[in-house]
Amino acid sequence: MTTVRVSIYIDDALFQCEAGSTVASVLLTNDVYTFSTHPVDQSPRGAFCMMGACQACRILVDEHWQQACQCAVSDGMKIRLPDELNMPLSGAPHSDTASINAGQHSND
Amino acid sequence: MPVNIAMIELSDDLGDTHFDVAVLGAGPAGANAAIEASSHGLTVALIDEAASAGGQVWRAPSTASAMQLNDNDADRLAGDELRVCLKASSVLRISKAVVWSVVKQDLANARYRVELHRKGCMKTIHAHQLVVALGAVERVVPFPGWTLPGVFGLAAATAMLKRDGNVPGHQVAIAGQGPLLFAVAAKALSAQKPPQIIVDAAARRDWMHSAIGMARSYRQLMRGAKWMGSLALARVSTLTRSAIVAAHGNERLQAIDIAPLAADGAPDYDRLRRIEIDTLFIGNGLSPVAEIPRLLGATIHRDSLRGGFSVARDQFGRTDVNGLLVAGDGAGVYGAVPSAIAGTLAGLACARDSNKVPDTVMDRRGLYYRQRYRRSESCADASCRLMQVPTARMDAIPEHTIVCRCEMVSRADISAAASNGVSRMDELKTQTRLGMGACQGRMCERNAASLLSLAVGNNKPVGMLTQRIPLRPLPVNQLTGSFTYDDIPVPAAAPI
Repeated sequence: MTTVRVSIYIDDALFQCEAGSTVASVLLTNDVYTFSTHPVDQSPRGAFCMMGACQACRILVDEHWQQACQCAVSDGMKIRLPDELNMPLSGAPHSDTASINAGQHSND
Repeated sequence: MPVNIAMIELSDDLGDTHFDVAVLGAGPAGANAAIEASSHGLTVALIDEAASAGGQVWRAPSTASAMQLNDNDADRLAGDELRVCLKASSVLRISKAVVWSVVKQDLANARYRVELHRKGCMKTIHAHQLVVALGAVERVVPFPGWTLPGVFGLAAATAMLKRDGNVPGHQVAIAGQGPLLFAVAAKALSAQKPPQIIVDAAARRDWMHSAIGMARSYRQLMRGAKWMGSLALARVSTLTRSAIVAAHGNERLQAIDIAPLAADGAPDYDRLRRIEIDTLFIGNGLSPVAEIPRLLGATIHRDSLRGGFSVARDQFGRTDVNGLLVAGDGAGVYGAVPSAIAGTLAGLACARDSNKVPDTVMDRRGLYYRQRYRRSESCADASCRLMQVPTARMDAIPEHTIVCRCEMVSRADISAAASNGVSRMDELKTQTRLGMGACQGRMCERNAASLLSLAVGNNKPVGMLTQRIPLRPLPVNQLTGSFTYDDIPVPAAAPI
């Protein structure tokens, strides 16, 4: 069977991949393991369960939140890796929520 | 209902949205339940998040590489057979759809309302009977550094090998316990990615015990022997009675610490070995995904052999909630073969309860499948015993280890809550936010319950987290639609 190659854009970088791949597997096989950061401590985060359960691999596809492990690539797809896992779609987290997050877990 | 359309996505026109049976989950159990129910004349909708039926174990290859890698694979062939049967049936498959709510309603012929969403499309379907077959999720015993990118669940490797035909990484380690360990390692080997090391919590003695249990299923035993053989031939290092106790790295995984386990399961931190690894697949057993039965109020039993808990059900999968049936690993972990049979039994019960089959057919067909189920049980029991985690292993988890990945709640937070008087999971949730994150406790609840129980110190049950909708995250504007303040009618103020 001939391999159909597909072109996708992740943060404006071009990636060539096999048709039928998931966005997560394209990132991982291209050595991109960090997809985002955790809102509590900005630690790096990526995929974990690869089966749609853990919700850690969420990325933005055409401004919709999608789980990278459940999202099949399509030619010309534009993907954005969010700075932070729970950020609102407009961009940086709201300044109020940033200070609330900073105050959490301060007693451990 | 559209004719000649067997599979649709949410963006397609659904047509009639009422079904006799809605089956949630298109793995071995769900797909077989759907096929059986529809074969007796019921209208059936089969809903799954994936693009095609098969679940985890019988997953369809999605790329050319995957088709090549899994060419003669027994699971792939079983999955293909299932997909062919499904296509030949009158089941309506709704693929790539996420269920975010299930509500019981008091309608004469539509007891359940199921809400689906995907990428901006929302759909509601109504069904009189519900078969929930959502399978199982990985259980991973936490260790410091397990949140680093590069640490994956064991089933992640299975998913990637079956679906994409490869696994990422340059220095790969496979760790945990249970038969999946060697299945994954052997598959990775055949995908030109030999693991640097396999770290197995079981002792060789445990494997010999389980071989006796698995002996009743000759085929499974032969597959297991083949896996072990190929790994031995390739000289893949295997450490038995050992576990990963820490992961290290700056931005991603760079090294793991391995410790031998004592007879009670506790790691010996004085005899650590550090190895450079950039990709770790780890799994310590499976837990049933029982969120929907829990949401609907079905009785759940503690069940350490079947994945921590199981859904109370009769031999056909009927729960104590009217019209709700469960089948497969989502009811209690047994594995793919028993799950497939359990699905058929649930589909048969749906037909019986809708008066589509007489008692004679029910009894005969039911007996046949019940016998097949019982024969597959001993192999299931042997596998499940290998997946149990002893208390001493949980108790050895360092206090600073993150337990709830979504909300960054550590074991120390759980201990602090317990000394504040928390003794139940719901209390733990409100005090620490454990389970309030995006995964809703799916990945951490079992570990948290074990650690809370240890912290509280008596043997009283700690309960379970209360299940709430939405079952998966979805943007608020998909619930509210689009409107502005001008659209809200404001009544005229009363005269003063």
